[in-house]
Amino acid sequence: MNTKALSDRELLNQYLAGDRTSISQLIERYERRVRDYIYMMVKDSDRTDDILQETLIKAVRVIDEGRYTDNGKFLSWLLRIAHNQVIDHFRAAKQHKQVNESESGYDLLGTLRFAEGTVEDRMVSQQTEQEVRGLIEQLPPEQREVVMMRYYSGLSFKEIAEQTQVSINTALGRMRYALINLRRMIREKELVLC
Amino acid sequence: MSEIDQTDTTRSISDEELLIEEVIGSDTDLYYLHFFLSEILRKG
Repeated sequence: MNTKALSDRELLNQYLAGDRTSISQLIERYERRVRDYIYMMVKDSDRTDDILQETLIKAVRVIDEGRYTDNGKFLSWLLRIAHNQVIDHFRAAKQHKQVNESESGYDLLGTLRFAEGTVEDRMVSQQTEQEVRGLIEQLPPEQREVVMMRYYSGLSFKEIAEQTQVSINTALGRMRYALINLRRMIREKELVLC
Repeated sequence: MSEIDQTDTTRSISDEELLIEEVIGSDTDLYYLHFFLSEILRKG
């Protein structure tokens, strides 16, 4: 059977059914993306490899323990774990004064750890959440529209483009500007996403 | 951004990757914000 033709969910189900090679195939599918993301933040090859291994070990453990709920976004979930591992890495390094955050390029909005489980596990404060929602309302109409259609309604960019009668490229461009503007406003208000 | 209007973005997985590749790129701040918004806006 050509495992490259199988979906993430199918590979996961095969793995849970006892096919140990399926998890390797699945990880191989996304490993480069995860490694690139980690390196983007830590900018050190050795640390990247270490954090990548920690990420993959954690991911497989969560799957083995039956705590992974597949929603068709395996890569996003994997990247979320990687993100948290990078944060842990910087916190630990900072304690030992080995890493300067600005030099390493770690200049994020805050030290938010993303929940790796269900929505109920999230750690976002209600006040911060309300403030960010308020900032979204301050976006230019076309940017606010694409944010709400994508994040709130879960529409694809193709659907967003069709409904707003623009090209997919334009929809993506509006999303990019929306995120850039939100970032600017969050910094101006000195919000910490926690 | 590359011309992608012919891309099939109806599958949720490819659409997420599209956003990450075409919108976020290598900007870790935007990546961070993307997941934050996914969390707070998903439940409506």
